[in-house]
Amino acid sequence: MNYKGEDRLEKFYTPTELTDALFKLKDKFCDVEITEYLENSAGGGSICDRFDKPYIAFDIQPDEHRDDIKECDYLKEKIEYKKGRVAIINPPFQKGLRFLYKSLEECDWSFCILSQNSILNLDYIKYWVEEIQLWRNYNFNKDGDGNACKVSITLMAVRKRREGDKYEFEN
Amino acid sequence: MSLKTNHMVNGRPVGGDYFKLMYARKSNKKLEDYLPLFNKEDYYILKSTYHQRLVTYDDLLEFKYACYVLFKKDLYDIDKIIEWVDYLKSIGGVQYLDKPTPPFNPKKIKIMNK
Repeated sequence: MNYKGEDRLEKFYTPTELTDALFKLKDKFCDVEITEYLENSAGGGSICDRFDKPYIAFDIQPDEHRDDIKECDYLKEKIEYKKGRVAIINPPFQKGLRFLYKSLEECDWSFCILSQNSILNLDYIKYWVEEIQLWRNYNFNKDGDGNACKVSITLMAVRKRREGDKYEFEN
Repeated sequence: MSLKTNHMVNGRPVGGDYFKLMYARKSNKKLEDYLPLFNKEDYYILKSTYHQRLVTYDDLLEFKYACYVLFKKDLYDIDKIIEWVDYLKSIGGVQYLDKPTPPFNPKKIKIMNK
């Protein structure tokens, strides 16, 4: 149970409350006309089911009945950038920033759920964070079998930096 | 004084923009091996264990704690570092600050479930 090897699979489906929060972030900040969505760790497809435009979805071990989710290692998948593509993602926390950075090579925006420590580790030189929400001791298994899985997480609205972007604490 | 304490440098070169000095029982290097490699006047020194806070060079020499992080004064704003340190303390559960602070104002992070 305590195995922490690289091949360990994290599987925590996104509670409805967090999916709602991600879509609210998208509505608040996304300034491009959305042509397509991307979900890079789609799992059971709870986020995909909310998309109102075409989407591409990936997971290393999707639920069996989800033919719309491609079974593959997203980090090894070659995906071209597409204008208007937006990522809404809940990647495994172990590799969260790698999932985020890759999605931002393929999309204009990424709205994501990451670990609390990602606040410190994110590459602010390359990426622009419009909003950070901190959900402390959040029960990630709210919609599941009732067993509490409490963890502090962040929700972020992120895009690549554009000319003129300047953080408040930047010199 | 514990200049003979075994310790190591984590990752970044001593005397660079920022670096860490930390206790390591298995290291064959001593604190005194590293002290000549940087100018004490050039750095802010933060203790990075227990309650993270700004300390003096003498505190570093005492080396009572396991880890210190040093930031070059002409490159980093100590007020912003302290603001982040205080913020991280207030939310708990986050690693110690051991690298330059994000340029994001921590006061703008929204706490969703207080």
